[in-house]
Amino acid sequence: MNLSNKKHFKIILFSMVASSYFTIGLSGKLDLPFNIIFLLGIVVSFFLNKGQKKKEPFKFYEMVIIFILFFAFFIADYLFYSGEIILSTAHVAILALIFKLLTIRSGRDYFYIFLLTLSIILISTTITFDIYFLICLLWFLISATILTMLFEIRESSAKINPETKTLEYTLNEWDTFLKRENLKVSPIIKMGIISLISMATITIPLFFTMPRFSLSAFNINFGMKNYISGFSNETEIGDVGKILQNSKVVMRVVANEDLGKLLPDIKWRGIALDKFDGRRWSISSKAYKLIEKSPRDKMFYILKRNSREILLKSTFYVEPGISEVLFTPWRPIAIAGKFRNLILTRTSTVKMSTPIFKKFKYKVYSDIFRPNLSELKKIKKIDIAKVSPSTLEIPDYNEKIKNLVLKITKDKKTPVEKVLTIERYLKKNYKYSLNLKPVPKDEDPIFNFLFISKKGHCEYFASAMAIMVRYLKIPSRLVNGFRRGDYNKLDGTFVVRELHAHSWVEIYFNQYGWISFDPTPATSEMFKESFISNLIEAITFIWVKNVINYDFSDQVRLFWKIHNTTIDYKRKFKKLRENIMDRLANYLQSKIGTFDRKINPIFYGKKLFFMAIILILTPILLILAIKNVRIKNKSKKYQNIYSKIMNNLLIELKKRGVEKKEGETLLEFVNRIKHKDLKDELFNIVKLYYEGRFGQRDNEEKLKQRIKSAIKKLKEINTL
Amino acid sequence: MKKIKRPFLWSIVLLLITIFFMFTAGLMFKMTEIKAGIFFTIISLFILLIVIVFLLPQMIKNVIKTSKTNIYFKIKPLGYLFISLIILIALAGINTGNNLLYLIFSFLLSSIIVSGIISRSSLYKISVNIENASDIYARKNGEILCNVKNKKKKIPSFSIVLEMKLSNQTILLPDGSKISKEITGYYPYIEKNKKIKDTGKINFPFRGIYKPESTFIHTSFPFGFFKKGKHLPSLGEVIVFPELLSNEEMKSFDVFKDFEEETNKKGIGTDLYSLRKYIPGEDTRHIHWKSSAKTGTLIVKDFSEVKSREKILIVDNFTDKNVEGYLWEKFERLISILATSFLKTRENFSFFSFQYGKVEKGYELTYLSKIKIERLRSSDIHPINSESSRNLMREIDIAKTIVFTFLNENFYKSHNINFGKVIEIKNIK
Repeated sequence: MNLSNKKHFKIILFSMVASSYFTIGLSGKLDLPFNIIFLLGIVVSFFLNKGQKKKEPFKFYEMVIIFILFFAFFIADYLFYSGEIILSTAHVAILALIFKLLTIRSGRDYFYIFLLTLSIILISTTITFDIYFLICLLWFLISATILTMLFEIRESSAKINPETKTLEYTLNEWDTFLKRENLKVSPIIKMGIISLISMATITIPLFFTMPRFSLSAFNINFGMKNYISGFSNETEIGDVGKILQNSKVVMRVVANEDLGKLLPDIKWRGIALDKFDGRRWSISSKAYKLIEKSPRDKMFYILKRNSREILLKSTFYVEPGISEVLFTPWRPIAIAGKFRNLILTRTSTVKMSTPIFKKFKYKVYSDIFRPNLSELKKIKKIDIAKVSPSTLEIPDYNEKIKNLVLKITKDKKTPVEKVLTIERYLKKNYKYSLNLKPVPKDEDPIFNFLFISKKGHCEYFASAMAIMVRYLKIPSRLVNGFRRGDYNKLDGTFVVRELHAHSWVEIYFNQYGWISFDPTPATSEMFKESFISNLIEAITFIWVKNVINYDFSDQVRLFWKIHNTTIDYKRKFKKLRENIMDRLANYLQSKIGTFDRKINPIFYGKKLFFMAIILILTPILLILAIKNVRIKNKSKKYQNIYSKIMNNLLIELKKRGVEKKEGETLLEFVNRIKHKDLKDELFNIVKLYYEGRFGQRDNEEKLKQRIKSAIKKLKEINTL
Repeated sequence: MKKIKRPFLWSIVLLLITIFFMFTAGLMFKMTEIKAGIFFTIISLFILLIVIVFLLPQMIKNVIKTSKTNIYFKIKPLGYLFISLIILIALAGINTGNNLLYLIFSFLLSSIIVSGIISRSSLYKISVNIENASDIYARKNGEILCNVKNKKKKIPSFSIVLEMKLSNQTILLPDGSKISKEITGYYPYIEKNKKIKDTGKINFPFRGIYKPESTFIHTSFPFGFFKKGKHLPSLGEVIVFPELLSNEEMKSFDVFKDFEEETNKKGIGTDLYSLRKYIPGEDTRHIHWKSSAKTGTLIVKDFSEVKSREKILIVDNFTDKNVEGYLWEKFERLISILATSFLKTRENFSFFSFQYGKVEKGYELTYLSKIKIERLRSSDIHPINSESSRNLMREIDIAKTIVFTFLNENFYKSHNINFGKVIEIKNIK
């Protein structure tokens, strides 16, 4: 691969442009027309670009016109087409990039292409959070690095001024030169890769240590205003079912290690709905409690703590656009996260006061204590005075359902037994299915499920149970949330996908509060795990946890960790030092016996001769060290001293009108001197000088003496 | 490096000993052997003092010396654009707290650091040396050879621009200004431990020895945002021979013509000069047998004298007066004439210099390139007075010598030297 081949330059240029297309294209936020325009633009300009035909760069007025046109397009796009500043900016950047690609005129255009490509990547940062961004970014960086290197070489070779230039290359001879030198493109690619690796090595610590602020002076939320269905204040039966076939990741949860074993059926509770109108579940009361951050520990305290609590700490990494509801294990006690305020509804649902439309994380401390059956059996009657009447409302009162409920619970005495019987009955006698015929509008879906279709998904089971329980005057509510998710052994996270969405029932048991029951029969796993999918998940989680959700608190934690590690090492070093001291003391003790002896063992103990050896060796080593360092510079020292002495003599001679010419050797110079005695004297001096300076003979004193006498002689002689 | 390494290693050794003594001192104090403790403390402090007084300054001095490279740094317009872009991204990152922006910002920032390291390593251990690639005559295109060597053992160099200023060491213009010539070269890639031999066409206006006055290399590699440069030690020289004159120009110069006529007499050469009768005692090898047979008497050949054609030239470049512009030009013209004549009939000239003595064969043009006008302090110390000059003049045939001089024709006669011809430079056309 020879560098003179312009194809490589072109390929790398277009590779860089393509990386920007994939970055923005894969985000899924670029609409189809612009996807096509961008892709077509790249392909067409690739085939039209035939190397650098030098054209005149644009004139100023042309530039102004082009700018006005692009600006007008931006305004029009914003007003009539996309309605989003970010999208309109992306559209303009794409068009400008294609325009530049089609009209490359000067070297500087390549830099503009680089800038436009970078700007598209920057725009993408606001609309994408996925790991593919990292891959595209790396692709962009490697192309851009190599391209700028090639470009720099091109520019530098062009800038050699042909007027002053005498060595033979000019821009026109670029190809000849490269051919002559047989310059391959591979060293530059190699250098590009090396510099990218070095850049990455520097970037990682920079990224993690750079101070994090979030001023939010100017914040744009990119059009992600639609949440997934099933978690709003009003949910129709079937809403959760809509997402049950999608495997898109909703969130990742990291909890205590043995959570999987401890609670195989743990659920991430989302919204609880208490009012049912026959088709739709909703929250009966709009009243809510605003929870503010505790100034003490920056936590949001949600529900009261119990004396018999089992605390579980779990961290949630939520993908953008899921819901404004915060998912938590039941019962949430405290939440930590970057929220302004939180809202607690009457049904103990936790919501954000202001929505976040990007990836975010939060930590939850929950009480997962659940009273055992015998305790619940002690409750003979449910005290309905404390609950909202809506939790007992039955919208379409149906005798057939009532009869069914009474029939299956007739033997049971306590409310909990009745509830468990209904749960078991539903699990046993009804089939789980996602292929459902739509229920006619005039028909009660619960009735349809219980007596006609006899199959459905979690929503039907949960709704049926909630209503059935109400026929027994037991308060109930429906909860929409997620099942536990797939446990990834590689990184210990629960990956929760849309297909893990679930509905279940909460039933009120006096002092124990609301306790969950799940009438839905077990379903087969719908997402097939494999090592590869787990690996990809693990890598994605690293990206989400350490890059996307990295914040100030993580930074503080990182610094503390480093601090602790250094302290740890200090401690270790101290221990090591003490260890050595102890050993030395023990050794000395074994050699000289006890230290209680009144006579100083150091000065009188015969056995301490090794100490003496060291004491003798030290001055020898010291002398050697000093001598060694000095000898190294001895020749230089001589050089300086001799030159100095000789210079004095030459100055003295110059005063008398005999000057040593430049380029003249000392002997030549002395030869010129007419006075015979002086000449002989000077010959001897030069000999001593040469011996001293180059032969490294210590002639310093002799030379000084001679020069003294020569200067004396000089004074005697009047004319030279 | 060795200069730094040696004191450093010694310091380490001594510091280890210090640490050992300190340990011992600590131990002694622990053992309540106060006196011994103090003794070891004093010893360790003494060694430490030696390190501080003798080794540390040496080390610092050498480090400063080796790191003293006059690095030149400039931000290019693209660099300013790039820096403003980085600042913009940083502001956006701070405002939004978007970690991807932080990521890009860190990457761009690290690219500056990496670019600094790469450009520095590109310039590191490069040596440039210049020499003649061919004979170069003034005012004629010649070729010079520029050796650019990358002495690094592991790392190649990229995109090196060389800017060299060659200045004439031999002659100054009459107004005292220097004659210099700038050359530039560009080397996109120099392999590790490799030398690039770069030849370039060049046209020097004047003869002389040209030495690099400054050798500056710079690079904008890898990203073209910053320009980094370095001054290198100037190595090598280029010899530029005197300007050669055209035949027409040479015609107007007739010094050698009349000199040739005068010296056209018999001698021991190879060309036949005349035939004459044999005088007994003469070398029989010179008998012309053909003519002898024809005439019946012994006829010998006389050969034209070769020496008579050989001209010994002395350019007496010493002057007791300030050389004015017109004289300077005449001197330069003379040198050109001599060089042109010498090249035409090489074997007929030999040069002699009051400064250097006899100019060795093969070095005539170099001599002519190097010769420069020298100012005499007083006529007494003209080199003609030196013993060595007199000795050398004994070896040549003074009567067959032409001297070109700034001085008066009678100057040599006053020193009892009668050259064959003395031409005053001011009289040269």
